[in-house]
Amino acid sequence: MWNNRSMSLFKLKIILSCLSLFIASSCVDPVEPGFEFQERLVFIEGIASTLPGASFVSINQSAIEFGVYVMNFDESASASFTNVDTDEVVPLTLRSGAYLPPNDFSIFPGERWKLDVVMANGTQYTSGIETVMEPVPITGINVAYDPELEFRELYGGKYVPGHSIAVTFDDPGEEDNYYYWTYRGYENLNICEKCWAGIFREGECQDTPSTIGGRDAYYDYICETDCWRIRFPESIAIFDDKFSNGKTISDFSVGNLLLYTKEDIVVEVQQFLLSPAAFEYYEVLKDIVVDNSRLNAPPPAALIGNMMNPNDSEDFVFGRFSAVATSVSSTFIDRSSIAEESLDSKYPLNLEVSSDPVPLPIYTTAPCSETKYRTAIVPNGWIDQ
Amino acid sequence: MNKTILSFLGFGFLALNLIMGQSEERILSYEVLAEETGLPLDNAQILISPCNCGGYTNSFGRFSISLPIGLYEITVSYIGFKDITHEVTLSKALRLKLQLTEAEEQLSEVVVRAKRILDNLESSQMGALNLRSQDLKKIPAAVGEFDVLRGMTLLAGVNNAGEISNGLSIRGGSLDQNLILFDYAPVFNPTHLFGLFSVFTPDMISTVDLYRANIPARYGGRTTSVLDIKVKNPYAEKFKLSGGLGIVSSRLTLETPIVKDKLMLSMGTRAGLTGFLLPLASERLDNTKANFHDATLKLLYLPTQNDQLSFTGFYSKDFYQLDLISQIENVNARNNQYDFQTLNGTLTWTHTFNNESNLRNILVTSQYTPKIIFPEHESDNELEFESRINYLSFISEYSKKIDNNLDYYVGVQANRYKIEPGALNPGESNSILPITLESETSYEISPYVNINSNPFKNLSISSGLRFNHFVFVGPYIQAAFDDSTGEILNTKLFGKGAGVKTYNGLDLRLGVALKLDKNTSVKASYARLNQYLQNVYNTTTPLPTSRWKTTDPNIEPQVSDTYGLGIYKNLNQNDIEVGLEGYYRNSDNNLTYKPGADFFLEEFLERDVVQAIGKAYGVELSFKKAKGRFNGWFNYTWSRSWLRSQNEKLADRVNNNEWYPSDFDRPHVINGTVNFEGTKNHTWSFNFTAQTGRPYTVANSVFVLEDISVPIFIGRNNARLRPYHRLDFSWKIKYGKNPNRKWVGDWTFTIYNVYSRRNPFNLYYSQRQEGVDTDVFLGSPLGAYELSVMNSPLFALTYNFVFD
Repeated sequence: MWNNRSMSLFKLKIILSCLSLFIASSCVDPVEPGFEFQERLVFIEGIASTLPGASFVSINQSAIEFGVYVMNFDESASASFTNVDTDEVVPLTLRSGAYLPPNDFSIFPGERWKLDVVMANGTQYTSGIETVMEPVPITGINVAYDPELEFRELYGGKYVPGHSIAVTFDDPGEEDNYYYWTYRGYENLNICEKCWAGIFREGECQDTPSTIGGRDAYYDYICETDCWRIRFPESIAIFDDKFSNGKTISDFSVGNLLLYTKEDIVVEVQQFLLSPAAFEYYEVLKDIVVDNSRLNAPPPAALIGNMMNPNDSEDFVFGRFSAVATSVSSTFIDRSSIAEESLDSKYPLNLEVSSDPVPLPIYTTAPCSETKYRTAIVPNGWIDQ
Repeated sequence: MNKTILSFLGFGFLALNLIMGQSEERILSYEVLAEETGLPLDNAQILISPCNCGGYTNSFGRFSISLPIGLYEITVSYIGFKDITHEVTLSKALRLKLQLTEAEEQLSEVVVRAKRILDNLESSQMGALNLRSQDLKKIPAAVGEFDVLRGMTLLAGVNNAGEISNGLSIRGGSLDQNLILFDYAPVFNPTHLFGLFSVFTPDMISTVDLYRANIPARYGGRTTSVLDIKVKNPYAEKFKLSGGLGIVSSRLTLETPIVKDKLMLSMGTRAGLTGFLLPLASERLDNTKANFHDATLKLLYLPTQNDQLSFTGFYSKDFYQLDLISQIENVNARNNQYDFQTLNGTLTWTHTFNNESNLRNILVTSQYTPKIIFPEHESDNELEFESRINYLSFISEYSKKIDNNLDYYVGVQANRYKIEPGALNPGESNSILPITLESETSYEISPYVNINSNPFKNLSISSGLRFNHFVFVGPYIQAAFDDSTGEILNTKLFGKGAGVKTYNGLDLRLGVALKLDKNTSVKASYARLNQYLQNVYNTTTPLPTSRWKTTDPNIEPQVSDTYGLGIYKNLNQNDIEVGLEGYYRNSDNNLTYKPGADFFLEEFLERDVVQAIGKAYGVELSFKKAKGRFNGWFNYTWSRSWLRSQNEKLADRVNNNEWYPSDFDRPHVINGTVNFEGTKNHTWSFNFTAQTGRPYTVANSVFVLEDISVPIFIGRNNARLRPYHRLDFSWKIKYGKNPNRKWVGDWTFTIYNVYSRRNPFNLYYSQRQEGVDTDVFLGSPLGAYELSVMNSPLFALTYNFVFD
């Protein structure tokens, strides 16, 4: 959104611009991050979607273990979606690191849903009621390559290359609409495992009895099957139609896909239609993740959504449950002809060979195990080149 | 409250009775003129001993005082002129006319006469600081010229939000709680380049008064302080041109009579046109422009000996362009253009009945218009966002000096605030809708009275009352909202001019000064203040485009009660002034933003703001040496500033409704200024400032959403940036002392941030990237970066000239 916070970024830029007359070096320095960690904070993130397979609930709890702050996924809770009009209860089961409904579960526009969670200690959390909106289809995706797409301090304070992803859609004019976008980048993956100072055995990297060339040595293992690395957005994209109600929204930028590698990639964009309250939540999220790097940034806010403890109004629970109308669209990007260097560090391929001091038989491949970050299932829109 | 008023009035009557019993006195009157021009000198200082009394001449160069019959030694001084000291035997009423001769080269390089030499002992005005332009010019500035706001931050209890700040924070208050007046007209955007300079045309400034305790009753509308900047009166007998050429800005001032002894004009302007230099610094700045200018004009007409008509016009404009930073959704703009404009006018008529009474009528208009322009890519179309404040005010004030021990003024101020919160003009764009928010109109009428008295020889009292009647009128839509969904439940419409909400408030101001001996005094003060106009922003410090909002049915007026107590001592024949002053301020309805608030083109602003209670307290130790080759000041302030929200809904609470440090909380502040007048033509000055770092917020947890590590915050301002400290230097070289030369020039060389301190301005979390800064971030789930505005000294050289 264009707001005071955006103005703050302007302020940073103009001041830095002015001072660049006098200053040669950067004014941004890395520092050790400070925290005031608190234990037993509960985070519940839930999506019920009109798209089958896109609904999930994630329940996490903070803890300090052996002096280290961790966020543990809570596997001992129970969760369910409830249709408050029909009282239909859809229990969620723990699979692949999330609480998931049946694979064919989807919600429909006009329905009203809520989420209920019971922790192992009996603490109950329930969400506010969410009404499902009508989905708005994506009418087009446009990806454009820019050799100077984003300025990144992380890469030595310079502009880095990548593709911008933009969508086109027709905003319905009857009512206010609030949008949120996420996307998945399915990128061809050739090396499924890289073991530093170790070897791949029994499905994991293992230390070897004898050091193989020190800690900087590694072995690569080629994927046994076709495999795709899944990349997620690094930013938050939201939009409300306050200034464009009923208009065609053309080439609205929903994210940047940096050139980490030059492998081909399929981008699958999911467009969520949110309730006004959900939109406010994602605005706060955007503030604290995207809009914070300014001289005069918006001070951070608590990410409190619509989850609550019905038995204790003072119990903080973070996150929110959203019932979202979802539309999806994909596009394929051929990156083989890009001249710029990719961002990921490049290491020469190093496979086990029989003369190496490794237990025999040697291994040169690894399976494409299904995780949050990789899949062997061919993504929609993939083109073999 | 009634009991308080009765006590207050009773005290006034007591004071009057005591005054009636004074011994036989005679009136001593002065008229002080400049020898060269024959024109009266405004604010010439009269010091009388052995009574240790005195005062200042008025705008006609006149001063009167009633004294017991006796022998007196009287010194008349005016900065830039030679002092005159003489003895007077007062046995009958005397009327003396003195002509002072200019003595520029003999002027003592007194760095800062922050207060009148004896005024700090005898005045009951606590927390008042006075700087003349001559004082401000000696403060090293960032880019070669003196600056009012930067100069003020070197005083005790005055601060800003950091290296760049769009105003002043007084005693822990927010920037909008300080009323800034430029010849009676409020200035809503007081800085150029987002805080690097103040907008006030430097050579046109006469005096700067900062009131922060028992603010005189003629001022109202802000809860912490008033910064009253006056424009020089154009007492000119011949044409005079002066100016300065600098790296970042250049300026020109002229003074000239138009009709001899009747109509005079002074006009000053300044421009920063350095945008063309930016591409030379970096290719990234090819499309960047940064230009600003300001101009002040004052016309003085003297139709009769007892009447004075003046008009002050002030214009300030900033224009910046840079590559696209912010955007309107669905607009393919290549860059942003920012345009901020202030246009003020003040018309004053002063009629003097005699030396002791006058009537002043003032008509003020102030208009501030910030704009943001978006030129569409590959199109001639431009989208424009514009907002505006229209302020109109009329003040009528009668003042009378009864005798040396009693004076008063009584007046009324009527204000109209008209705020246009925002309009979006899409031009020819067919994808953006035009939007105009309803303008907001309100009226405020405030009668006031202020009495200064000396009921006993060693006691002086300043007491004031100001009654505020505030009315918010239609057109207005009053809406009720569903707490959980935020949806509008119902609305009530008010037509144009219909009364929507009325607030009445009574401001009390009281200051008492008790002189314990010749050189020591104790002062106490109390002030209640109401504020009906505020700036809402969800950033550390307001921006020029931040939204202004008057009180309405949902946003109640801010109210503060400030208590002060101080002890002051002059040492070494008034060469050294030492003060210790403490204060405590309670405040209600401080406006702050809800977590995640967004004010841009928001019709129902009340949904995004929280009104918090506040408290601020502190102790200020000041030490000044105003004379000698080495002169300067030193201040140390310990203070705290806190806020607390009182919201039921968890998500709307700030810091879970616990007290938290405000953005302007700085527990320890040290300021020092030293001037060394090495030779006749060289003056070296140093500033040093150090303070506790600004509060900021650290996360209480980190949660991973998809691939994004999200910091989770519960509190607000629960940590502090590293301390801020900085040393500045200036070297002023005078030459061309031949008084017969038409052209006189001098050079000013300044270094801001001499030892390259990299003062942090903000600290933010970032996503971690494999292999990047791992030695600093260690095992943290997030990275963090510290932003600083400057990391090297800032050099500036300015050539100043005078031609007459």
